[in-house]
Amino acid sequence: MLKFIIGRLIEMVPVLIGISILVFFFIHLIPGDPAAIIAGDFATPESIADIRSNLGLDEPLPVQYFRYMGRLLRGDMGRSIHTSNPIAQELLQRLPASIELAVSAMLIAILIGIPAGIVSAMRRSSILDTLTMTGALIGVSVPIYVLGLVAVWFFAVQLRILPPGSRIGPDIELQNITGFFVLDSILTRNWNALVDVLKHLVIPAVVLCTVPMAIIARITRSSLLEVFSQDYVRTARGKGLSETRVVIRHALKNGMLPVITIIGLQFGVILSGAVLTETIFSWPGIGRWVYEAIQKRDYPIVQGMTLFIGFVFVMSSLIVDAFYTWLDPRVRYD
Amino acid sequence: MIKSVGPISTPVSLAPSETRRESSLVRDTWHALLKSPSGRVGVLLLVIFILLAVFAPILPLQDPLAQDIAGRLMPPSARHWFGTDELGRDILSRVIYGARISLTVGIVAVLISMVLGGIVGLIAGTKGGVFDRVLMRLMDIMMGFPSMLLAIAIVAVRGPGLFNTLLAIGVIRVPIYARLTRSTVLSVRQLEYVTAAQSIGVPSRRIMLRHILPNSISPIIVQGTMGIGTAIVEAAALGFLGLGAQPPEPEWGAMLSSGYIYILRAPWALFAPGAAIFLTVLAFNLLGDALRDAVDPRSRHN
Repeated sequence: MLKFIIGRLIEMVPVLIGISILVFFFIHLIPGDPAAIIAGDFATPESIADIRSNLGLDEPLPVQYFRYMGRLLRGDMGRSIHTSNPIAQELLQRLPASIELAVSAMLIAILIGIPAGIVSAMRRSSILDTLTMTGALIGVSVPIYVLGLVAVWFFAVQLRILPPGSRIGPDIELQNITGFFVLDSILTRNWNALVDVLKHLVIPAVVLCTVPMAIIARITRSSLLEVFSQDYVRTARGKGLSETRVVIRHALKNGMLPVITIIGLQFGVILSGAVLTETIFSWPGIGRWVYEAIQKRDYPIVQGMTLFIGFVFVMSSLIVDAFYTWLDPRVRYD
Repeated sequence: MIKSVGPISTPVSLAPSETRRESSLVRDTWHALLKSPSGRVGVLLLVIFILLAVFAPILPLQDPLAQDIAGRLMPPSARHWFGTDELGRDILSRVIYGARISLTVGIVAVLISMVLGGIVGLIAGTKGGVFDRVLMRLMDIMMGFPSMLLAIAIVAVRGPGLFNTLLAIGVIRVPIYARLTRSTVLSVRQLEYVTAAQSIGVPSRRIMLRHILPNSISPIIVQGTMGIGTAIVEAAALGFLGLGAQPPEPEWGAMLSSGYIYILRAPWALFAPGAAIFLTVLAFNLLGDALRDAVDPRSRHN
């Protein structure tokens, strides 16, 4: 197991280096001279040149790349052009918001998607199955921004029972301990804040969960149906086990493997889709930060965050693989 | 066996038999497609959207760009079925003209990724060795990258606009088609008729194009059909973020983002483009699902 993970980690290195090279040179193709942006509208050519050499921007690109990577390995992601705040520090401040949203969405998706898929597979071709699968089809077909806007209109504008965006009401006080507002309000027993935080979380999380939920339900169903046709399940049924027991003890264990892969992959998808969701719901996480940085041409942020999200993406596929191997010993011998 | 001997003696003789076989495959698929309810709904929806998009200029619609500030943000009425937007433009007309943009973007973007990915996959799968390893590693790197972020980065580099959106959406999907083509090619390459063609000295490029490609194409087409829906969603997402089509173009995503500002006063400005995106994507997903079942002989027997 450990050997497998180490092997995969080593395999990841060239991919990560590839991503970093790609991102670095890509970002430098973006039009606009960062030195000129920092210097402002009334800068002289001399002051721009000064800033450029201070930032090392007059060096050849490969030299800049190695400098950047060297700093990155020490945890220094550079500073924002506009606010000159250290990027690594701001990333840590904003990350909990994105993780809280992604984890909530995934939890809803798993808690509803898997049971829906199981029921669908057990009652194949029933009305329940048709309804679930139609729901899943609609789920994968509604873009999150369309669903998000409709949800905001319905719950925030029409019914006025939920807020249209942000993480917490402006008049609510909450002591920041972990940065995860749900956790913070429970830790400080601030039930008032908890209710408010949950209210803010509902629309974004439910909207964000639809695509993963639909995909999880579909994969659970088709994977279980495949397992149901296997001999050992027939044997279990032939022994006279109850259907529930057959499903839970025999079919589910093998049927869950593809589902786990999908869950892991969807996690990466949710994080990369954060740019969109966080923009719609004014969610102060990393996605909206990247979006704003792109619009302001704050390239150190774009560069750092693109690398970071790419890294998380690759890591999540590694974790899925490791989990997969642990569950299915056959994979190890390949 | 007879078939693979054919091409060396009289290359022309292969053509009629191949056309007949292909047309019957297409006809079988079409019949299987129309047999499933989801296939029928998908085809129907798409036909409607395509007809509306193609014939938009001759339909009795108002000019999608004509502004009428006095009649801005008007609710749906007999004159404006879907109401008017913040500049008094007719939303029905803008949604129908938007179908032209979205369908074109979806189809062209998928063609870009299919052709580029197909070439990469075909080369990797047929040549093998170093070619295969280097190309596939490159594809892994692209896959190891959140697609939406990559698209945003490409548009950020090349500047916002419809053409760059098309390019970005096309490029981010290349690895999917490259992998798919490669794996299909690898499995087809093992088959006897390819070995037979090789043994009688058919040049490898001819084997690649005449023997391997036609037999590898169906999974690629299924993936492509579903991919059009995804491409439309992503293109509209870029439009929504202000990175795609620029005003005053009647692009669905851009319409959504300008309508969002007026969500309190004129929610209909959101509903029409939102529903249009949803129904188009739904149609492509239905069609893709039905097509996958139709070309898969295993499920056709059921």
